[in-house]
Amino acid sequence: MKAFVSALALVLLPAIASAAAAPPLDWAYPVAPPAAAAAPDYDLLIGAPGSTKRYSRTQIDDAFSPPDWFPNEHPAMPQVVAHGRKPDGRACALCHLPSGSGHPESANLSGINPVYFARQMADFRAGLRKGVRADAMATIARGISDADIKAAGDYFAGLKPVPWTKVVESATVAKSFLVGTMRFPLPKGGKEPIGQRIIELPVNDAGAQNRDPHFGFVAYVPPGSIKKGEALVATGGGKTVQCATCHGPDLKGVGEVPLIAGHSTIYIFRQLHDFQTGMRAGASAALMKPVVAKLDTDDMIAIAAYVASRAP
Amino acid sequence: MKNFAGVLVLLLMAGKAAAAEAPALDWAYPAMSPAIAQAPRPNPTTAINRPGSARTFTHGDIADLFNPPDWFPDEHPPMPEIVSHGRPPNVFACAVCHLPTGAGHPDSGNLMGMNMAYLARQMADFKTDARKGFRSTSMRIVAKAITDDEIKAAGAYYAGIKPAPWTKIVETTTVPKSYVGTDSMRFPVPNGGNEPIGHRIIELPMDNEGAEFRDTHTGFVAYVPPGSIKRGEALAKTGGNGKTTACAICHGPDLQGLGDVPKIAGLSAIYIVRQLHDIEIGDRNGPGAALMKPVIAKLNVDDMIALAAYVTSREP
Repeated sequence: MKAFVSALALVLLPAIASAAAAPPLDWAYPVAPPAAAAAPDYDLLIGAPGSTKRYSRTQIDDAFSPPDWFPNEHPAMPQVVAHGRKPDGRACALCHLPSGSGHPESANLSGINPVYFARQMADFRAGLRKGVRADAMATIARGISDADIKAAGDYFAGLKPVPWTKVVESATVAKSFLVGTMRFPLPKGGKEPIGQRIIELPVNDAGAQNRDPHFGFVAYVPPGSIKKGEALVATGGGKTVQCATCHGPDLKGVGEVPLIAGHSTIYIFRQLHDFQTGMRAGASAALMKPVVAKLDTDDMIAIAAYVASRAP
Repeated sequence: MKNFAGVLVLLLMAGKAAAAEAPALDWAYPAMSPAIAQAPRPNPTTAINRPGSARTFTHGDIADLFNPPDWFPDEHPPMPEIVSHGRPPNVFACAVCHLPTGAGHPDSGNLMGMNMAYLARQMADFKTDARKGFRSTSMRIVAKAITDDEIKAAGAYYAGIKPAPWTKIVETTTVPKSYVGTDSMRFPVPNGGNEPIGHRIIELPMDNEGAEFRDTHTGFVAYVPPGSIKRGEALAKTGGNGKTTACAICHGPDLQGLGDVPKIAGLSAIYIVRQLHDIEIGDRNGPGAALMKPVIAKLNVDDMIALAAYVTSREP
């Protein structure tokens, strides 16, 4: 892994140069840098702490058979979760992991309401959720069957959510770069001001890279975000609606309204912003649209920080 | 009609005795008393006409659960088969109670311009008994026999109807004495005088025969206690200092619905009280009801009356 990251650092300059073309909230919508990473050894077998399994890099990134480091820690995965449906339905577990916890560029599905899940898949299919971080799901949603959706929804709904994203307030944050669509700290890159951003980094770089469900993420947020977010979430602050009205007193969801507590911070930010810009526009998005209408970027960062900090 | 009403008055005492069995808030859950149900029926072959309609129907036609009257066929799109005729034996024509316009009677629900996905979810909830209780018996029978395609056809039809005012709210301290008659609708007792309104909403037809004969031109008047509309407006708009949640958050700024959350503006006042109360006591469950449960947890009967009065008074 170390050699891999160093090699990436060497190709970083072109990646940073091209970042000028990225959208203004590029930190929330990570996309793969155009410069290809230097190739690691694709055949070398890699382990994970506590697991008896070994996978090669090729196997780890196999869209139709991603690694399952701890098969005893979850129920048997349905076919679509473990292997997807070729050619377009990549395995759910590739990005969302067998635990459902997912990576910041995707979404946390553990304990998700299955009806909400099915509605999102319908919305992806219908083009009602779109944009740089939704396009992959649109392709997948169109590439799998209704029965697959039901099976996947039931599987993820049955998983118990675990703490996965730790929120840390900080004025500075490690300089970072994207590998694929995940952000990693730049080796010996030093720090930079956090600015008006959330920077979500792996607790363990190799863990994230290897899709290990034992290693979560740290979301660095500007100082004061959690308290500011709590005020907005708890009272609406005249700017928005109390989240608990629909998401429940502990933000664990009510009826078919989804659980949001403990989700990825940048995922939450993306959804709020997508509601605002109309990139997320299904039937339930209609309810969120007035809720987010008056929020600025700092408000959304604060709400995401607070919501992600709650026990899932 | 007059003779029929006269017989009913005679039977009213017996009806009152039976009313002891009715649930709390019986005014919101009208049920025809057994005595009235057993009253002699009008001659089924007697022809009936209504002002403004060229059509003629008989008493028998009006009581036909599978071919109810359509007094003004030019005023709505062609009805799907399921709306106009239903499907025997258990799927009564929607138009029997909800009328060809969807406006409905106070004992049923107003479906004009209702969101299709919401309607389909309600049918699913009736089917699984997630909606149950006193006034849902018929819908539970229908929902268990109707097909998904029929639901879709009926939903699309009623969703496409432009809502029109149907229930007028009047604040008053006294209200005509009334009884629950045909189709579980409340009618004024002929020459019965007035009584205090108390903590009730009394919804009466603007035209008694219009209601009885399923005329889509004559709506209802909901009598509510004085001050109800203003009190309801405060609750609906602000939540009343944490007593409830501002309705507009989910039902939209003009209470016209938002996404799959239903429109509520202009619906029957006793229908609204029933829904609030049903959610409170668990007779209306389902995922949408889960959102409403905390919203109504702290409301008392007067709050519910006030909210219903305000919501019904809004432009549908």
